[in-house]
Amino acid sequence: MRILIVEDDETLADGLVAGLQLSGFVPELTGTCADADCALRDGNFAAVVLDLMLPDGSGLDLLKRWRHAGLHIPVILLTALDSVGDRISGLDRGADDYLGKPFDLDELAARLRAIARRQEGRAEPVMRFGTLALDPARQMAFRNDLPVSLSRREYTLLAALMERPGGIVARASLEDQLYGWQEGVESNALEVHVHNLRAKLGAAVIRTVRGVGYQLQEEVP
Amino acid sequence: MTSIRWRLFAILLLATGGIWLSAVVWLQHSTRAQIERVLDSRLAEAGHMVSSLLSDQGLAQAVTQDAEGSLALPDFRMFEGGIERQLHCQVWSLRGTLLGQSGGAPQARLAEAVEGFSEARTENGNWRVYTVINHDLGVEIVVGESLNMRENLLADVRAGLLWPIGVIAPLLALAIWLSVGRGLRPLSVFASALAGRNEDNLAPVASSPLPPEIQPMGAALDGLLARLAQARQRERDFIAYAAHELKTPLAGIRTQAQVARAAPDEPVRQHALDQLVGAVDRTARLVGQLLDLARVEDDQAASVATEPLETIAGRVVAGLQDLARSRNIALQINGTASGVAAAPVHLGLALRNVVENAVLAAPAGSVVGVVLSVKGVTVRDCGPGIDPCDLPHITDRFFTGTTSRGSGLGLAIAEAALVRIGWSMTFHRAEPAGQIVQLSGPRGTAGS
Repeated sequence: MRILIVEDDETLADGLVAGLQLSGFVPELTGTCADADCALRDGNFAAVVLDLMLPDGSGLDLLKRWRHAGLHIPVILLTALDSVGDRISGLDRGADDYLGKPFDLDELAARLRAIARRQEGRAEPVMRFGTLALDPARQMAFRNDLPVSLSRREYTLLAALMERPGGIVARASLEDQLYGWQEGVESNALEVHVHNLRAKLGAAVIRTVRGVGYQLQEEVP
Repeated sequence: MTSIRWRLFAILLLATGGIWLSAVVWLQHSTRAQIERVLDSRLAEAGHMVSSLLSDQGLAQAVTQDAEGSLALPDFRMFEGGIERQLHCQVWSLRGTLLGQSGGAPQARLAEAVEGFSEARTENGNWRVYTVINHDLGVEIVVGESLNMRENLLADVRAGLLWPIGVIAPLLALAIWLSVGRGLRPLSVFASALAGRNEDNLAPVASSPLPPEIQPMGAALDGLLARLAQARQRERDFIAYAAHELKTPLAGIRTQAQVARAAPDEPVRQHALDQLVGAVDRTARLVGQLLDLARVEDDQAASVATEPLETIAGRVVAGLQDLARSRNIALQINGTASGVAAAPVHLGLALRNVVENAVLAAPAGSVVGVVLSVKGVTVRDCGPGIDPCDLPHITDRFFTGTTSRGSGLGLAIAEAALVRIGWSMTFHRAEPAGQIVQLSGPRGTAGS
């Protein structure tokens, strides 16, 4: 899950990136409203973690602009002002969730997962497709209810495919999910991870759609 | 302080009473004059009338005999019926024998042999007397009237004027009390409207129409309310900023601590721990600055004894030498400022923040100069200088320019501290590059 983090405090931003990576997300970092605006318009993100006070303006105003422009991406607000009134005004301006600083990193991750679930319209925390199951909270994958050991990249790739069960996921989108802006993409790195996933889950699980991307397929038992 | 209603009531009552009393005194005075004029002329007329009536009646014989009581006078009664006898008459021979008298007249001689009006004291009270000397007959006619009668008449007039006051005064007082209350009603409405406000209501009072007399008060109050609302807004902004500036590094510290705890490999953990230590240092500095800001606003510290500028600046520069060395910057102090003194806490805080900014802005290997003069202190660095666009906001709390990495409190503290002790701070660009910050003492600092 690709997450856009908009936070100008270096320590917190660095911690958010590291912490969300540990929780299996692919975080991208911007420090200003203007950068966040650009990033959101051309990146494909599952959610935004937005700080309220940014050096070039208020996060609330940015959020209002996004909602006004018809951007429906889920947004979690991070703020030092967490009185009831502040929470209400934040939620009323289009935020999906609200966390007062200082917050628990695991809680932020859980809320991001909950937001993702709601986005995909499922109530169950575990994602299922055919004989496959993925538990984002524990970052574990199962095949026929048996745990499969996956690397971080493999897990991210499987999660990206399972977010659109049966749908074709574009190659560029998968690369975005696997590698943030910070990390360079090695040529045919995606193919290597797909190859490894097929070896662990069965060759028929991931189908290559030539020239487009990849697609999950139900195993015939 | 006495209530306005009571004051007005007392003033109106005293004024009305005073006017009334002076009217009584004046009336009494003029009545007395009138009564005396009328009664005196009656007395004189009576004397002349008696003189002209005394012709026969054996007067010549009586005068010749010169024996007491030899002359029988008719009963001298001018009015009949319940009225007390008012006029009395004596006829004396010029040799001093009482020839005759009217009934009830005193035996003693009422007046010495002086023609005209006089007053006499006898056992029977005080008298107003008129004397006529009839040289043809050789007698002296004395007509007298008791003064008690006149006093009684005046007392009646006085009582006639005073008793209505006794009856009307309470009614008048009540009327005054009620009218004053009614006249002051807009004031009490205004007061109760103010008293009924809750503490968050800082709306102008003059929004509802006020009588012209309280309009200036309403306007003054509105000015105060507006300033109060501004101050409250500033406080709210300050709290919002302070909360953000304090809670954000705390959130960073917590997040990094969680990352360190959950990190699977050593480099990630080490990085998180380094970030943690840096964030704690930055937070500690911010807390220190917030405390400085509170200290600057404490008036007591400004009133302590001053210290020479050279001592204060020397201490500040010595305290920042470590920082300067760590950034490979030469921090120099020169110049003299003999006779210039200031509150050490305030000037010290201001100077420390300005010099610290200069040291942090200066490129490695450059010089930061602190120059003392009788006008104050100048701090000069060779850094990029303050962006002209940022200058108007540079001393706002929590204002961080587009390039600054600080908390945005340093220059706000400096400005607040300098204002407290009457100093000022000005910014100039240095040529070819760098920033000059001038801290100037109040006019006449030198030699003070």
